[in-house]
Amino acid sequence: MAEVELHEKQLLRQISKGDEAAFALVYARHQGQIYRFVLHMTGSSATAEEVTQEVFMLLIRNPNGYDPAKGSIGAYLFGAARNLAWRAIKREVLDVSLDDVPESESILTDDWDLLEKLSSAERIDLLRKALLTLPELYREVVVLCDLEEMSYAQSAGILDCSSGTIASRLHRAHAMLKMKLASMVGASHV
Amino acid sequence: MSKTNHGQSGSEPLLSTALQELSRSAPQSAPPELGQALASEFHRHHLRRRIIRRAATLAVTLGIGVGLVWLRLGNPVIPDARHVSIETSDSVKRSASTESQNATAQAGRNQIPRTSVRAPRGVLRASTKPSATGNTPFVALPLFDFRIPQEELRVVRVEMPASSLRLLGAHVNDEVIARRVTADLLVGPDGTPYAFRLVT
Repeated sequence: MAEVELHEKQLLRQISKGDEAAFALVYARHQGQIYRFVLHMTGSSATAEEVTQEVFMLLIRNPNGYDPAKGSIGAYLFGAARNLAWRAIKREVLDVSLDDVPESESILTDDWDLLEKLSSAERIDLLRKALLTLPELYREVVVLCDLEEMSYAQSAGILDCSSGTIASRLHRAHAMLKMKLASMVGASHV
Repeated sequence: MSKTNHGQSGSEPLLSTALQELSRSAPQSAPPELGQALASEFHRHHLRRRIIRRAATLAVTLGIGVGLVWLRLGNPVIPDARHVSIETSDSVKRSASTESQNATAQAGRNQIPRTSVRAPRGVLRASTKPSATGNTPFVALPLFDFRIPQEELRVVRVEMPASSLRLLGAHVNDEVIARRVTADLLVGPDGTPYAFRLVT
């Protein structure tokens, strides 16, 4: 861990000195995750591109803005991406109020069976749409833990909360997703 | 990366599978054009920074150089228009000699002795341009400050006891302390005397 921190410090120092190879290394290491995170959060590849660019521009303009004591470069970049993604989401008014989500976790078995019968592409499309209807707080834990396969601890570091909060949010997010999916499948087969 | 078990329910495996499918279907990286654009932006940014840094260094160096030249050449000059020259203690004897010779010519027996007036040690040579009117050089007093702007200095002719000259910081021998002398004082805007020369 200490070695990684030292390496990241060296990389940052080289970046601030204008070392293009160091920047390319950091970019190659983190761009994929950040791009996918924003893509899943916003559902827009244009926004994902814009936010990814903005995040790395931050690193170019002010590499000293990152404090190694507060976490890894990845967590720092994710934090920036998250803020920008939230801003973009608020701009596009994709938000769904928590009141819109039914409290009951009962799922109609028939609808769920229908989901199983869908093709993979159809399921992915439905899931993507359902994900975008989740409130951001829940959407981001699904993206980080399920889609980016991060541990609770890593996600907690990025979202600046405890692992317990991540676990409870994820549990709730799954419940909401299942409800959404079931109702969407049911609606599409009415 | 380790993944923690999120808990299972009847529909959980299907959701988990669907999420994995969604994860796999997503693009694995940002478009390559984005990477190229950022790389060139990085290059431009640091090129700009290097240019700015070099320009700043050059400006500072030039500033220091100009400052040094100004300090060495420009500032210490006392206005030529006033026909003033102030000498250091090394050349005091010479200037004092000239003063006393002039004084001799004009004041006869009541002259101030040749070495009776001396400038204080450590006063910089300010200007040695000879006076166009043949006046003797001014001798710096301890209060002399070469930073005083030239245009603010003026010459005042006074008649006073040699003891007053001593009070101003000039070295005056005891034998002549009681005599009255005529002198030109080089004074600043507030009347502070900075240098003097004997007239009689």
